[in-house]
Amino acid sequence: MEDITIHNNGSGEFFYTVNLSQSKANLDILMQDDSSEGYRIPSRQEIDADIVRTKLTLEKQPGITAVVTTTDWVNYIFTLRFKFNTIQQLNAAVESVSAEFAIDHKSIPEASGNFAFAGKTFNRRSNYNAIMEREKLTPKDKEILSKASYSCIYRFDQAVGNSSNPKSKISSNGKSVMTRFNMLNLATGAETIVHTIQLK
Amino acid sequence: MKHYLLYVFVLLTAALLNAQDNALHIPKSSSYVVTIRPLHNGEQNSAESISRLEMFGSNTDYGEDISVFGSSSLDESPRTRLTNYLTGTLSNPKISGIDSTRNIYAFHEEDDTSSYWAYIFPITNEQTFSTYIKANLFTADAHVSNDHGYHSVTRDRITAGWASNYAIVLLADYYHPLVATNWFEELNTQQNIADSIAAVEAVLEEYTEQSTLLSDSVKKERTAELERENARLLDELNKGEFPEDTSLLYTQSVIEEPSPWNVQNRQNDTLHDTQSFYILNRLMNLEESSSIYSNKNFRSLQSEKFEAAYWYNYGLVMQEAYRKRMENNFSYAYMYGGQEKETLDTMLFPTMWEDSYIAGLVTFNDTVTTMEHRISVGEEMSQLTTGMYKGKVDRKMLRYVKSDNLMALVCLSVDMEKFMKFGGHVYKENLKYSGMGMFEQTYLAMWDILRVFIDDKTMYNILDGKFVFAVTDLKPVVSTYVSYEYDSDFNRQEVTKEKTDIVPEFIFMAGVGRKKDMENIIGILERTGILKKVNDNVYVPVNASNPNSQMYIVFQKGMLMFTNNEDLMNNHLNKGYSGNQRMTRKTRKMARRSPLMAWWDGRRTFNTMHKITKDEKGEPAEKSELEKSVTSGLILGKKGRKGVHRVEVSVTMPPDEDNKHNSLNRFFHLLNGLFLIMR
Repeated sequence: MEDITIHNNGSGEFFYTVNLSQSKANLDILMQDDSSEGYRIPSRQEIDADIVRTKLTLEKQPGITAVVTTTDWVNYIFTLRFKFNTIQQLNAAVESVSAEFAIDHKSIPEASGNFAFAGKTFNRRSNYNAIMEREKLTPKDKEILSKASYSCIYRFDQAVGNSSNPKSKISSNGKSVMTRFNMLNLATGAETIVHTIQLK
Repeated sequence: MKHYLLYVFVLLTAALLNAQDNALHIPKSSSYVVTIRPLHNGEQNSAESISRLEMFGSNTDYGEDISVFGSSSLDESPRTRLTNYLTGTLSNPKISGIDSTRNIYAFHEEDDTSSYWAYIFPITNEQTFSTYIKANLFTADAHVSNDHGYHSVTRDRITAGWASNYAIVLLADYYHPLVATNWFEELNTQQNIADSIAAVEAVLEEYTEQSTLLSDSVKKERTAELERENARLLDELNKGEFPEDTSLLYTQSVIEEPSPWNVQNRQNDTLHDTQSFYILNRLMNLEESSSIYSNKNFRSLQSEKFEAAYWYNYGLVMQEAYRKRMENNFSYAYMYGGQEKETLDTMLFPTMWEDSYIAGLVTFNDTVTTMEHRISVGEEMSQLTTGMYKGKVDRKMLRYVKSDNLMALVCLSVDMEKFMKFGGHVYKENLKYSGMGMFEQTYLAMWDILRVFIDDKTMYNILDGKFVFAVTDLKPVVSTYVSYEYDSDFNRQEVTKEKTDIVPEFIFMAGVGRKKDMENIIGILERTGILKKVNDNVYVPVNASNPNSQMYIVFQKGMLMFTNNEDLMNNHLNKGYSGNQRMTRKTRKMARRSPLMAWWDGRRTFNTMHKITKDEKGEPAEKSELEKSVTSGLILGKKGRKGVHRVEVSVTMPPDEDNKHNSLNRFFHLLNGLFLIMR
């Protein structure tokens, strides 16, 4: 889940959580193997090293401060939190992490220019091409994804006027927007993470 | 002389029968063929019942992409029409014009540029068939051509052709390397789009030149369509109407016209129709030497007694699988500066499975459906596998199987030397075509080094070839996980929730041939900290993955056991179960009837699952389609002639109370049950 706070001046905080706790028994077993369902399974050491690498990469980025990562190997919960000065620096930071991992073929080309904030408009964009990517999903992939969810929370200093996504909910103080997606719907293009939030 | 005339008569009759059989329209390079024998006179299928089956996709959770009989490539509307057409046709032959006394076929063929499923229906009344298919499978504006001595029509990626006594319905997926460029990456450059238009035109020209199958009217229609698209695209390009920010193109609102995606889709549709006609024309005019009838294995299957049968060319399927795997590896290597993909074209993929076929003959008898599964292997595999299955499992092994809620039992008895050599050959071939070419020799050298320390006799005799596996119960296991709840301002609260998983209680036993060697292996595992000794002959794995379901490893009385059955460990480890808790005489006899036996009690499995889910939800769970279709299953290895391995699969279905379902309907329900198991 992504939880992003954006202040009026464009600065803010990025908080990302991956919670695999519900599958921890399966993951305990999977982590003992090298691969499953045609996918390579990284070792715990490799994941730990990549998390450290992510943190070091972000710390070098201009406008990025207070980078904190946490790992909980009992419940398989991983978090990343940092502050940014501008939305452009947030985008650049995410892209820098992708570039850092390009050499290991772990980069995510879609992680580029995902956020925009100008005036009173916030855009969540996506470069993920569901039309092409969904062809690659096996029935097993879909079964797994259908049980997973992705949540987006965007917090602002000002009250929210409206969100282009009809599934979005606005908080009682009127300053936050939350949208929950089914991962299978996102992966197949039945739903899109793309939406525009208009502030009052 | 009399015998000679009789011989000639038989030959002529056989030739005429062959000539009339619609299997002559199935190409010999088909990988899968399903045959459905005549419907029983006077019996009616329940179309509604068939169309509700999960395998037809429209009512599954992930339905839109499940490929059953080629329907996955269709959009929702034609897919629904196809399902309704097939179920309607099969359930009421008189209305659809189908001949219910002759074979119906479904088959699959694949090559570098296309992959398709096709159906062949025998027709009794061409006019009735024509009216029914036009009204039910196609939309009103579909154009029927009669330019090549048969009727043909294509719409929405469904193509059909029919003559006076047979019809072919074709569902093709189109792929052509020339137009398979990645538009996603090349979207921005106008030159690339222009290049792609040229490529599409070249492909169209290629197909048009290759065949004379397109009627003038269709050709004219296609050419005009293409010209319109090109003119439109060029006009848009000239106006510079493509958005500069390509990320916007991925949103649903902007993906509507104008966009190169839509242009590409329309061009692909045109190519698809052209190629489908090309395939259809080939099938309609196929010569016997190019048909599946030239395959002896298929021909001999057709002369046997069955009500439905499936057949697939395993050698061909494996070759194709290896080719695809290497293609992927080459693509990957090419991307990162490795070997060029063109090298793949020069590679051959001979496999040990050459001339191997798998067939299943299905017959129906009251509530029992029997499927004789036959694996015919080529010369190489025959030498490797003849005599591999032999003997029976030991009686003493069966004593450790708790029987009061026994759900599944598998017994296997093999010649370990043959079994391991067979496994080694499969492994070696897989390695060869795994894209790890350069490492193949290293892996094989490692095995050779191992053999310096372990001689062949030891390797083949550590285990004696007797194996038993049983699922003796299902247990609920409650575990906790971390989740989040949010207040009205979306502030996150971490909460711990509970969930119940169903864990099978099982036992796996392997007979040990060399006690001393097995003790050494266990000793090594104990010294290296993988196993921990907890009692005499009893070990547990260190770092057990699921603390709620402890697995035990026991080595005693010439057997190696793996189990999570606490009752066995605490009370019956010494002598096994006795009295009522022991397997019945009938089950024990069944377990030793052949070297390969597998049995599953569906009713007991579902009842136990319902008890667990009922406890959790407080009410009985609804019956699944699988539960409605299958009561129990039994697999038995049978003796076959040289080069043929026979396995008889019997499935008991719930009684057909209203006696409405005929064999075809039952067959579909059985397929659906198998589909659900695989899913």
